[in-house]
Amino acid sequence: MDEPIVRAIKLRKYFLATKHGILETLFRRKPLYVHAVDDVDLEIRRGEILALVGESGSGKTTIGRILATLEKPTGGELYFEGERVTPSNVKQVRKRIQMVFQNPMESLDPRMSVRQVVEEPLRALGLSGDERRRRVEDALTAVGLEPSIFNYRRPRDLSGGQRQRVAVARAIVSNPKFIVLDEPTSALDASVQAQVLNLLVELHRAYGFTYLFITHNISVARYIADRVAVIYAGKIVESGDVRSVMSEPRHPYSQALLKSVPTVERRGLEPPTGEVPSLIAPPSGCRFHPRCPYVMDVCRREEPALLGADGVSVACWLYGAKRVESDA
Amino acid sequence: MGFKEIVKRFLGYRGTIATATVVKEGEEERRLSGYRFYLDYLIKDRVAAVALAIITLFTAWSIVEGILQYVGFATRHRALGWALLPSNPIALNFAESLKPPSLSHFPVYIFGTNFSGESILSRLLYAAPKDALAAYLVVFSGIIIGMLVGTFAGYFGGWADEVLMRVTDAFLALPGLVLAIALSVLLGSGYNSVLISLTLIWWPTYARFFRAQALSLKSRGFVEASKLSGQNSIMIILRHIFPNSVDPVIAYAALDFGNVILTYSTLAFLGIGIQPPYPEWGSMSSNGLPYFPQNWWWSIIPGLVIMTVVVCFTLIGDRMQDLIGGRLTY
Amino acid sequence: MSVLEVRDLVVEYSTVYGVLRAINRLSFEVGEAESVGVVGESGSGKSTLGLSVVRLLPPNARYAGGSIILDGQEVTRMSNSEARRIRGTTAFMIFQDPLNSLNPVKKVSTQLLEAVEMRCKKLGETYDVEKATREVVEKIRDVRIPDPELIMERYPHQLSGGQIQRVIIAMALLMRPKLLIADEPTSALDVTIQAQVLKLMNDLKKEYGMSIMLITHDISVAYNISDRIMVMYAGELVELGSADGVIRSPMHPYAKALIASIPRGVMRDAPLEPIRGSPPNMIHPPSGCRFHPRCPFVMDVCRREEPREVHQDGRVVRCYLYG
Repeated sequence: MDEPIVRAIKLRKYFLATKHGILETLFRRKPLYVHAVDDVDLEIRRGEILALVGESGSGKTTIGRILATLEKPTGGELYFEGERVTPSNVKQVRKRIQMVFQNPMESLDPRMSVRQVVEEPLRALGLSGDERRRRVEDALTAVGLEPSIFNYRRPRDLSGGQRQRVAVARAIVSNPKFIVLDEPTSALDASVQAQVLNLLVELHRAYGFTYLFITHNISVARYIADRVAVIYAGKIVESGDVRSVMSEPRHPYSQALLKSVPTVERRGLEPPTGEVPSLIAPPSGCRFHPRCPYVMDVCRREEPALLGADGVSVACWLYGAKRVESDA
Repeated sequence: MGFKEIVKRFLGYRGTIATATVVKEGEEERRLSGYRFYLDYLIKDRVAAVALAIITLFTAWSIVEGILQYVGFATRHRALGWALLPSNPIALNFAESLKPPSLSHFPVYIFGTNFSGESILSRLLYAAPKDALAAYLVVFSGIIIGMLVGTFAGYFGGWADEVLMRVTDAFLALPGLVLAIALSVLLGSGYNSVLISLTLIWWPTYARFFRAQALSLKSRGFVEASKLSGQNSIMIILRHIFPNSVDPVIAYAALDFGNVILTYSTLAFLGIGIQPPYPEWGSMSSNGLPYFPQNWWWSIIPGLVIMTVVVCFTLIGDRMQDLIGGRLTY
Repeated sequence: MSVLEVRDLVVEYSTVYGVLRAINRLSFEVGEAESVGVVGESGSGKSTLGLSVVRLLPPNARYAGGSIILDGQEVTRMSNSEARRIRGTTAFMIFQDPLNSLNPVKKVSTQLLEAVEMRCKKLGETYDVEKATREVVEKIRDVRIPDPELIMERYPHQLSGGQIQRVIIAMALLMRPKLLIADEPTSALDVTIQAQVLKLMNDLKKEYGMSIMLITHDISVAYNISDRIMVMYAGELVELGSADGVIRSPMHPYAKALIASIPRGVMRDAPLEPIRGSPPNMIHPPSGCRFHPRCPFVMDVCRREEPREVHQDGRVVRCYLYG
């Protein structure tokens, strides 16, 4: 099947920067928007693991939430398994999508037992109590938690790694087609992170889930992903298969990102200058231009489009010879 | 051992509660959970244990005596109301007027008598259920109303939030004492009008509490996971938001019982609420003022009793806030 | 002369569950202009170590043994007023969460000038506002913040996390401490900002000859900025050596496992090697070597007795595999 399982076209999400309630409307104040996600195109093929890599404020979590249908985009279109996602069919679409959240302490209801937590996605499916129980046990076993021990435990009795496993069990119990994982290992210790990553890989191999793996950790992205998309200030700057992007990053930001990551392979960090820009009034033209060592005149004036060849796409004037007219 | 050490020991542990020990995979570990954990901590803490004992006594007595009074009133056998008391709290007995505290006829005169010869002790015991009822009723209705208003406003946001919060602000702006006085003029200065006015002004604080909780909970992972699982908003509120909002409110409510009793007593002190000849702690205190300091027991002892009960509630609430605060910082 | 010398340090917490020994006979040194990375996972005691050097332990903690000698002075037995004097001037501590490190109601300039004033008082210098302001501006430039005059007029909530950490480092430079203790200073920051701050700390160490004790859970971060690395597990030192040495040829099984669990390679070509088991119960720690339940090389003696430190070729290891 060539049709990608998820496709986002010109996705936009703008948040109100300040409260805009009755008083503000009365006084006719203009609302300020944070351009969290701006004209993003994304495709995820069935069964693949796409890593969305970016720093905080880049918009990666927002994209993840939009693709998981938890957030309505301000503009653009979202397609899931070929059908357009609209408010009328979103409830149906949601049955095939699940999400694993970042902070294991917060993503489980502290008042529920493990069994209740993992069972919740099954309630809307109309299964019998026995069937539900069986599925919960299967899910717990699949994530390496013995059901007889963990069924009635509470989240507060579990370690971070165990909680995250419960979160993964909850995500797989309803047999979704697509799982969005938002920084699933960032809050975990290094050794536990390895356990959880192994688990995710195993499940992917066994059940063929499609993952959108959101992370700021380059090493994790390189390890787990088939393809990588790098996001900066609400825009995708580079995407392609993981080997190409990681070993020969083309976009200056991807290059800077890779040079900023501390590894045990070599010493010496070469971070970029400056800070992430404000998304309320982002820089003109290419959003990375104020920090780019290769900045040219055109970069300040016009935004480069994401253009690709041989499976790698870059949004940078260093590579784009002609301007592409946007069909706004 | 320095003075600081002694005080620290007496007041019990005030240090950090260690982060929860990890349950080993494949091993069973016995751990205290939920309210037994609280109880265990409170009992280890000696001061809180004493406070807890006093409050339990107060509540138990109020329930028993309250039932007796109600049944007595309903069946027109008012004497039931003082069947358990050392003496009749509203029987005039001028022969024993203004007796100082003494051990004769133990325990009738242990706190002395007032001008009408009624035993202060009996009157205190007789009035206790009213205070208890006011405290528990006002706080619980505050919680319920506040929970409905605040959670709805916080979870749904938008216009509902704005409207509900402005209404809450309006009620918050009502000056409690003035409202109570006004209502007592309208409805007659009875006990019921005091309860109504207290209820009306008490819920806004809880509404804000629950709204804050709903706001912070609605962005938590498990609420979003619930949405993805197809739950509708009402079910999410019932299954996730309400149960998780309650923890911090309990600690605050424990403190709040004391506040209600204080306000209620103040109103009684000012003459609003229960009318003579029925006793009320606050009004006893104010009635005894003209006889202060010669017949000090009339005014001071009810005041001390109010203070003790309020302090005990406050202590428990304070400890619970520590506990809950500690638990919330996993 | 070492700036910091810790010998057989024992720190205990009293909790509702019992006594928790957070640091168990720890010994190490930090020399002049040297940076030591203290690496450990949560519960290893690394944060407690930082706090105990500057006497910022919570009230239910106590020094139950050993000594901490900071710039020649014994910290554990100092009076509170003496501790206050050394805090900030001899040793300066930077914390993880930048948002909580500055006073939110005072401008940056006010807080930095206060730091200068404090230093002058503690060292007996006279405080002159103009001289101090010039010094403040100079240090803000040193921490690579453009337009110092603008930053000085801002309030903390108007700064980004990276900027706040830099302002704190500027404050540290103003206090001229011998030792800078940084407890996960960059964990709350983005990757690129983290790299900037780490690089800054490294450069300043060379410029000012300041010693740094960097506490982190990320061994890659420690590797990039430290001369020597100390690995802690369950409140104990398990390995100490030069950064290159510990990373290229780790000796202790825990250190080996930590390094092996870092994701490397592409596209999940080989499964990662997590450390089996789970962190120890610090109130009732395992008998003998605290790592033994999780150690792939465990021997009988490991279960019975605690291994002593072995000093070998400039490395310290606490493991029976080596003696």
